[in-house]
Amino acid sequence: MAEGFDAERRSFLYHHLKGRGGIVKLQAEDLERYDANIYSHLAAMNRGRTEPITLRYFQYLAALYAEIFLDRYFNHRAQMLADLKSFVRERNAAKIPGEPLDEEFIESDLNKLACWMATGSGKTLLLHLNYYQFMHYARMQSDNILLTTPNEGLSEQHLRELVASGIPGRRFDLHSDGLFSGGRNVVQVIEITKLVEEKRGGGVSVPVEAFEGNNLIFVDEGHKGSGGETWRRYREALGETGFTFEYSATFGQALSAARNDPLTAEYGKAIYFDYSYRYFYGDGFGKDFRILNLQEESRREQTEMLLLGNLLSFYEQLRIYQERADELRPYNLEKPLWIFVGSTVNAVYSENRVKRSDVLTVARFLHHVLKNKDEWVIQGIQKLLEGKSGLTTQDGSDIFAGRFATLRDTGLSASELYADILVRIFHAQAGGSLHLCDIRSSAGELGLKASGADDYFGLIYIGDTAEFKKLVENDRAGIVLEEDVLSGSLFEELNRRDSKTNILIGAKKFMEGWNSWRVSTMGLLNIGRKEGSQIIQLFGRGVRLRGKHNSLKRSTALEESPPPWIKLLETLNIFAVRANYMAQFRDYLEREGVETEEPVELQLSIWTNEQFLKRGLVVPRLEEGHEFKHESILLLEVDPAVRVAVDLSVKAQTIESGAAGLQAAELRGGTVRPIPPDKLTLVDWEQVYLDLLAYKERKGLQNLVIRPEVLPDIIKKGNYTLVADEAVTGPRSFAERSLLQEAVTRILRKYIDGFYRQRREKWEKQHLVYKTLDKNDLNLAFNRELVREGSEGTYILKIRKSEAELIKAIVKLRADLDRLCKQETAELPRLYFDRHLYLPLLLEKSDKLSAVPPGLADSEAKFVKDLKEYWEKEKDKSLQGKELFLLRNLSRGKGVGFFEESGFYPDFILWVIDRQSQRLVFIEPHGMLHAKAYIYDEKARLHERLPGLAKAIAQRSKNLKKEITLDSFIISATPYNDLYQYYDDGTWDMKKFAEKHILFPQRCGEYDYIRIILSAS
Amino acid sequence: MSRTRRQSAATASNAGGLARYVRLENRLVLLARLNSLLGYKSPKVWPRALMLRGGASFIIT
Repeated sequence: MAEGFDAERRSFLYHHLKGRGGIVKLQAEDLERYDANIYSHLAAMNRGRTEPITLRYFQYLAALYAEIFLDRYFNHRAQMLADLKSFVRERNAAKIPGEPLDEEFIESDLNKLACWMATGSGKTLLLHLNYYQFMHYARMQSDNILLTTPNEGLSEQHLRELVASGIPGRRFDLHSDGLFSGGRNVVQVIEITKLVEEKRGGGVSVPVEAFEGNNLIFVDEGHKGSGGETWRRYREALGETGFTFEYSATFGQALSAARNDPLTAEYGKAIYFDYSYRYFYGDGFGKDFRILNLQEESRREQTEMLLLGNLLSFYEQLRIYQERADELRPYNLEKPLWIFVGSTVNAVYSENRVKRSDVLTVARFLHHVLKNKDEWVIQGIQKLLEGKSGLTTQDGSDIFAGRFATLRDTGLSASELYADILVRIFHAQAGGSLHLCDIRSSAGELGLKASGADDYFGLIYIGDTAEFKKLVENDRAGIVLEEDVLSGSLFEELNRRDSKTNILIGAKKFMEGWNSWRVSTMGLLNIGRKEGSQIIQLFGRGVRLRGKHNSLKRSTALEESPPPWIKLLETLNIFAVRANYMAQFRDYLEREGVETEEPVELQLSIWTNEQFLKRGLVVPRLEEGHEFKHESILLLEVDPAVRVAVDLSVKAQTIESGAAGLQAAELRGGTVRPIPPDKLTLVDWEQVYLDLLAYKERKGLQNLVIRPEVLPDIIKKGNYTLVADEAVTGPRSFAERSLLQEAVTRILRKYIDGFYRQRREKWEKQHLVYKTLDKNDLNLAFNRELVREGSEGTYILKIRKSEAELIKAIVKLRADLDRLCKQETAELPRLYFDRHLYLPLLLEKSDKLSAVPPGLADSEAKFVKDLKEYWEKEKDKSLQGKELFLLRNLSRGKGVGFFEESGFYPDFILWVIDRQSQRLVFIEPHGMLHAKAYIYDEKARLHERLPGLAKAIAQRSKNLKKEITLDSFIISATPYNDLYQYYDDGTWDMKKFAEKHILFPQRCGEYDYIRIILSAS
Repeated sequence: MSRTRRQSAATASNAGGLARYVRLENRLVLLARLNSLLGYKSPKVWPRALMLRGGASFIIT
């Protein structure tokens, strides 16, 4: 699903929802209005930003749900209440006995919305959107707008972010006159804990009276910690006149879902969006994580072995990062950092009257590694590589079994790896002692260095360095203490690219509020229950990932086959020693819907029909070594062949952001009218140019050069159609001038799209050739790089470890090729169609396993089944003398694609061959969701372009034995009765759609879409 | 602690956390109404397989 807004400033999600047709129960004009509102609120938030925000699909949906709610709340409240009551009645009637019933809505329930969003998914952004949305719908301005936060650090952060989104904000001051303080619409920020202190202290009471009236309250993590109960009392005191938005990443922790739990009932009626960690992680955001916990009763040797495993994991990450630096660059991964977090605020604490220090435990371990007495490190590394660490899981297998594959692949011995560890992690040529250097210029910092090394490899960052040094002095381990009067702060340099610090050890206090993309390995020591919530925060920050194109996603979520070793760097390893909280932590993750069970990976090789490959099937592919973006520099120029249409008539409202703030202007109706040349002087061309540069950047058109002087020429001489009101082309006021600006920008954006596409197509005609399909084609060789033996494409299946029966059944099935390929059985849902070039053809049906590449979705499977049925019926009749072959076409990077900018990879390639000819048909059984008019629907019109392309490719391809034709069809997932209403001029019948190669998956009477595909030529 | 006892404790926790999550999702009635306006079922049918796409693991010895 594409995110963001198209050249006409309609979101792609809007098109998607519209394409769902009659099942969407909102009026089309309401959906349009909500979309326009979200666009304008986002524009307001982006006005002051150098890097504009693009809404992720779930952020857009959350904003849309808030729009629906607020529109009804402010404009049709009684109707909404009645609707919700009736909805609850219907739901309750459908529940099975024993299932908790939903409570009826009462009017005061409507005064609160709550949003459940994972850490890192953009809660703050939603808060800002909700602010603008509320302001838009509220007829009266709010008397007070309050934002409560869990702590001061977050208050400061909120204030900064409010400013960035153009929202006035200030700190709340209990001592000032609360009413109107700071002006209207100003968000006043206060920590919820402060309210608690004031109440309990009996000093200055919370001036609830200051909040009488029409208030708007935003609550960030209101139920967390001790603030929860206080907040509830406080909110009740605010009365019924206010409106509250609450945001939390962890509603799963706060709500019990028990049958009679009033809190759950309350939030059940308030939560308007759920994008909890399960969805966030499931969508591919954030790092993977691997958590290993050693229980309390562990012996010292076991602890050291776990720490050594920790060291080796970190070394593996660092080594990959350094060895594969060039290949890693697009993935935006930072240099790995290994952090240790201790339980107490101070480095030294007392336990059973004995002074203890977790920090010292780690320092001793590092010292032991550097000393390598009796070669214990080398022996330990050997054991770890062999998966014989002696640390076992509950089922008896070694916790490191199968790990460190990239290290084993180097062929280096354990002693060679140790030598490399010294160099890469410790910056040392040889072992020795650990040197602890008090960095005088920076309080609380102790640098860690190996004997004879020039650079610090690590940093201890604690409060009480003096006491800790005393402990080290009295310790017999032999750690050397020094002073450093020259170096500056290592902590401040941690996030710099050239930082040589690989290890950070600190008490948890110093980790709070600290952010770094670098954390890749985390060691937890003696973390007890009460520290749990802070560790969860650390976890939340540790799993953040910048990702390719700053997508925040793991590479596996972006590409079908990213380099396999990237996974190592996109995984947060957590090693815990005596961390008794971990069981609760696991429960915490599960309450947010996260599966914590390790999946088992199975490889399933495909069987390729080699007889079919001997039939000389061809595919159009680019000549090797050619890439449009690298080979062709394009200068944007006037080209009458590029046709553009912009329709401003349907938009209800447009917004201009400028020095005077947001200005809205109504647009009604419109006719086709060009922009008079004399009106072009009213356009701010510099702004248009900047908008287009940003558009070009966003679309990744790096080989396109835009000169500012060509832009007015394109409008004067270009081939565009503008449907708009007179006010747009002949503005009479400042607000109307903004409409003209909008129209010009839209025309030029679309012009750029069309211009770029035409140039690319021209270039492709010169560089595409027919290649004979063989087993090395990327559509057949998927995941081959992961398989050590054999040359077949391979599915990677992931199955939950506890599904032992299923794993057994699939392993058995794997060994029975005939059954695997020719039967359709339940343990592994698949389709058997013997004209597909490989088997099995997996289906995306099971909730117990996942496959890469993923199985066929329902619409794709339907097409294959229909084709199979038709083939079996007609092969000796209408298809006599013809042969038919099918191949699933994979997506970007593997499959055959068109329109690189928008990435169109039809799902199937179908070959129909006879003695003289070979006809290739590209089939896309997905959507007709975005397009409104056929003439501008590039995917649907692909079939028009293909004959010319086929001719050009044939001229350059050698030794073609048959005439080759290319064709394409779209199979609309949107039913005809919905699609025809908004597609093109709204009059198309099914025949007309078929003429334009748009089909509906129906096979009845006269209409059989498979027959149309196979009989077209 | 014997291996058997530990194992059963872990399994119980496993069932508890996830089951609670699923039950809670079923209580989100406002969200269910909003989803239904856009033609979506609620709680969204979300194959557990989705979680398997990642490689998260949690091992307690």
